[in-house]
Amino acid sequence: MQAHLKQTYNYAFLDEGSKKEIRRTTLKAIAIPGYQVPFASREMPIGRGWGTGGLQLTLSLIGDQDCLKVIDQGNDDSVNAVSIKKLVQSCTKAEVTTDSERATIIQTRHRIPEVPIRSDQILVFQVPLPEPLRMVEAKERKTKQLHAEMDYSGIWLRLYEDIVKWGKISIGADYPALAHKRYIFAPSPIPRYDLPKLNHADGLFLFGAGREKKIYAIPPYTEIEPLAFDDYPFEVEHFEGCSCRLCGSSDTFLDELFDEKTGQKFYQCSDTGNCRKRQEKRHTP
Amino acid sequence: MTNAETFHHVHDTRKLYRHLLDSMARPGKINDISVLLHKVPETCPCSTGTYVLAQTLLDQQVSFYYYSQEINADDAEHAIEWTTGSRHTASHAADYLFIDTPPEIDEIDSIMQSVRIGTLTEPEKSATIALHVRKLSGADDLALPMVLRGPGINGWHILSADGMNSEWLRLRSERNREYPTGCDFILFDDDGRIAALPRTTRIERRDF
Repeated sequence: MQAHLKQTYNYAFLDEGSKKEIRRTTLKAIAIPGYQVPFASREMPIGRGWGTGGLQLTLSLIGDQDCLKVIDQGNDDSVNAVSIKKLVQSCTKAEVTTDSERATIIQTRHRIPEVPIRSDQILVFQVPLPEPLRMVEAKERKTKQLHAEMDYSGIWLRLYEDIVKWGKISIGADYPALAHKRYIFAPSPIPRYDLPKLNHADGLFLFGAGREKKIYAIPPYTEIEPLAFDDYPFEVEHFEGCSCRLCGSSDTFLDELFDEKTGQKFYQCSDTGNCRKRQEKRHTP
Repeated sequence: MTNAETFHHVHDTRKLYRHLLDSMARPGKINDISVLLHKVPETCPCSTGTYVLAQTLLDQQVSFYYYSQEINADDAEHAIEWTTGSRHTASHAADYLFIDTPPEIDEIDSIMQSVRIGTLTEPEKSATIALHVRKLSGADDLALPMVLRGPGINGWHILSADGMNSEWLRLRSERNREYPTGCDFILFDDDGRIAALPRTTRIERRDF
């Protein structure tokens, strides 16, 4: 007879030593808004670059009383979001939800939910490239020095060159911003539309970059200023004349979809949880 | 044989961390950890606050410094080393400093002058000071009232403490002069109140 070997992992997957290290790093990150604190970044059962940084933060936070929402570009049902939820559920008794207002922890890839984050909620970002200066300087040692000296001329020059070449700043998602008048940070590839939500917010924002081994944070009520020039102010995406084909909303962030056969373009809410709630509201008079 | 009432190294450290995280993200906000303090074994030679913070933050990767004028300060030091795997070092080398009884002014001075504040390149290589005070309050009714401003605070926030020498604040602002270098404070009392003062918080004394 073959004995059934049941592999049991520690509560919330990570061992306690790893959690302690992530927690210590997170506390430091909050004390220095926007500064990327290095951490060890453990091997996870998903590949690096698939949200391991966010996942490690989530696992260091989560307990049985928590309610978790995981979104991927606003979508609750993508493979990656579902896998992450399954993993968390297999090693904790935490509840999962698609309702951002019910969640206590929201792990996100590249979107901030439409409903503002409350003070009792934590938003965890999965960050692919935490270093905003990487586009102007390839070496980590040098970018660290540039941050230390607050020498941000390189990135300003890059924005200026954009204006010279294209007549506007061409960065769409992952638009760099200045935290607490000190550090330029990468808000992860959220659309520009979401960036102002970080400024003087009620909630806490934690950023985890698993592959790049960095954790940083934006505490509540912190000044976040997108980089811009006086004569070329920061602009968000707008959707004049467009509305979601499912819920009819015209004041949310919309995805543009394209039907190959008919060539028709239509729009749909990127935040699926919020869209579903609006649809329900519309159907119940 | 586990006693459900003893401080649990998985679930209770996590609960404490969430309170600490909230206090650190919202400087001056008092969180209630009294339930966790009740789970600390009675034989613990240090304060219950120091015990739970040490269990949550320390392991073999970091070092700590413990200060107490109690007769069993050495026992406390060893107990923390044995239970966490962390090692005790001098105040100038430690990652975490636990100040369990109020030191004399010159002692505060020597601790604060030597405490690690990190460098401009690596501001995270700085120390966190956990200060045991007699009492904390969210109003200005105690001996040391403070008005706090900075990230994490919507406008201003009031915190006051009993059993905390104002010398801590004076030297804190001196050492935290050049942001991002500086040290972060965690304040706690015996009734289970905990608050934090990260380096970004600007403190005005109310009675000036």
